[in-house]
Amino acid sequence: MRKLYLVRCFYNNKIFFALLIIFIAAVCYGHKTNLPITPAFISNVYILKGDTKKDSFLFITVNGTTLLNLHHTFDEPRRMMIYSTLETYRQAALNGGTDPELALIDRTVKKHPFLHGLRQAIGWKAGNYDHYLPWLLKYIRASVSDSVKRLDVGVAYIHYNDRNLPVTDSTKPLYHIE
Amino acid sequence: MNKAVLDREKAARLTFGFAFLVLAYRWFTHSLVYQLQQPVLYESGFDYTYWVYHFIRFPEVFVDNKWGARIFDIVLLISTGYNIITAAANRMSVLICAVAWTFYGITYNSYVCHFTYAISGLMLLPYVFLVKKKENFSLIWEGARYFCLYVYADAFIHKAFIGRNLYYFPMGVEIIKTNQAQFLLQNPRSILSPVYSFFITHPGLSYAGFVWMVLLQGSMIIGFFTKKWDKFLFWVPVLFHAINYFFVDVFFFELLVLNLTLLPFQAGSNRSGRPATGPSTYSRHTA
Repeated sequence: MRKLYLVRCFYNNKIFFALLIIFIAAVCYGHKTNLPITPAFISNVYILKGDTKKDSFLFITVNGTTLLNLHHTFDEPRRMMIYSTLETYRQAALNGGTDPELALIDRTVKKHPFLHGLRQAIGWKAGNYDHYLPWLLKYIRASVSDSVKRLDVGVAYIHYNDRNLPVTDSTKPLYHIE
Repeated sequence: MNKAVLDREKAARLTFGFAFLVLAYRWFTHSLVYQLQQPVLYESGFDYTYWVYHFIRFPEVFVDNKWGARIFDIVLLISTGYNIITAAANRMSVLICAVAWTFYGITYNSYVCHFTYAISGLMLLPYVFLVKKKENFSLIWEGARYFCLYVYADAFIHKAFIGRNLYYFPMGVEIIKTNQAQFLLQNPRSILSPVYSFFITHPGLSYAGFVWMVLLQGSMIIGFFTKKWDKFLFWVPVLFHAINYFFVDVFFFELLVLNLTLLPFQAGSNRSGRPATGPSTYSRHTA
C-alpha cells in the first residue's frame, strides 16, 4: 500500500499531495461536465462519431492572383492563426458579429451561477469584430510577405464522390481586404 | 531500465532546452505573442482557466499592447535561456518561466480560436523544477510522468468507452477526409495526395490504422502499473505523433517534452561515481 504513488505523496509532501487531489478533482469535474479546467486537460479530440461535416473550406487569394497555400503541417501555428480565426469570423458574421459561442457560454453560466462574475470578463468588445479583417491583412503581411497588398477570401463548397474523394462544386467570394 | 540517465540537473537542461527549441519553432512560424500583431478575435471556450485569464485582464497588457507583447516574449526567452544555463537552480527564474509558458499557451490557444493540446506539456512541466530537494523532486518528477501517461490514456478511454468511436468503422476515413480534403484539392500533384486518396478509398485499411492509433494511446496505461516498459513507452508518443503528422495534419512535437519523464531517472547525481542516495531508481516503484 505504501508503494502507491498517492500514498507516498501523502507521507512525503503534503502540499504536493493536496495539489494532486485538486488536479484529480478537476479532471473528474471536467469529465462529468465536459468543462475542462486547464491544466487538467480532457483529451477528447476525435471522439465524436459521424460523417465529416467538412463540406466547405475557406481560401485566400493574395494580390488577386496567388492562392495562399500554407499546406506544410509544420506550419500549423501560422496557418491556424489565419484560417482558424477566419472561420471564427465567418461564424461570427452569421451570428450578427458576436462571439459564436456566447449563447452556449450564457447557457452554461445559467447552470452554474457562481461563474457569473467571470462571465462579465469574457466576450468580444464592440470593435473586435470590425477590426478583424484589417488585422488579418496586417498579420499576413507580417508573417507571409510584406508584398501582400490585397486579400480576397472565398469559400469553396465541396462534395465527396462515389470513391469518397473531395470534389469542388462551386466557389463564392466573401471578403475583399486591402 | 536499470541505468539512470537523468538527474534533476540534466532533466532541467533537457526540459528548458526543449522549451527553447519550441520557442525557436514558434518564432519561425510567426506565433510568438508579439508576432500575432495584436489579434482581435479570441475564444474563451468553456475552460474556466481561460475565463480567469480574461478576468485578470492579462491580454490588455501583454497582447493588445505592442510593447507589452514584446516584453512578454523577452521574458519568455530570457527566463528559458537562464534556466538552461543554471539548470533551473534559481526558484524565482523557474517560477517566472513556468508562468510565462502557461500564459503563452493560453494566449496562443485563445487567440488562435482553437484549443490545441500541443503546448500542454510546456504549460505544466517547468513547475516541477520549483522543487529543489532531491527526494521531493524525484516524487514530483514521477508525478509528471503520470501526467504524461494520463494525456494518452485519457484519450484512449474517451475513444474506447465514452465517445466509443473506436467501434465506428468509417472513423478512419472521416478523420483523413476532414483534415486532408483541402490539401487534396489544392495540392493534387503532391506525392502525399495519392497516399491519402488510397486510404480514403480503402476504408478497411483506414479503420485498421485508426484502431492501431487508439491502441497505441491505450498502451500508455501499462505505465501506470510498471516502469519496466518505459523504454518502449517512450517511443509510443513519438510514433503516434509522427503518424498524425502525415495523416491528420497536426504537429504535436511540442507535447513530446513530456516524454522526458519516461527516461530513467535517479534522484541523486552520479557524477561522483557513487551510487545515488535518496529514493531508489524509478524502475522499482509501481503506481
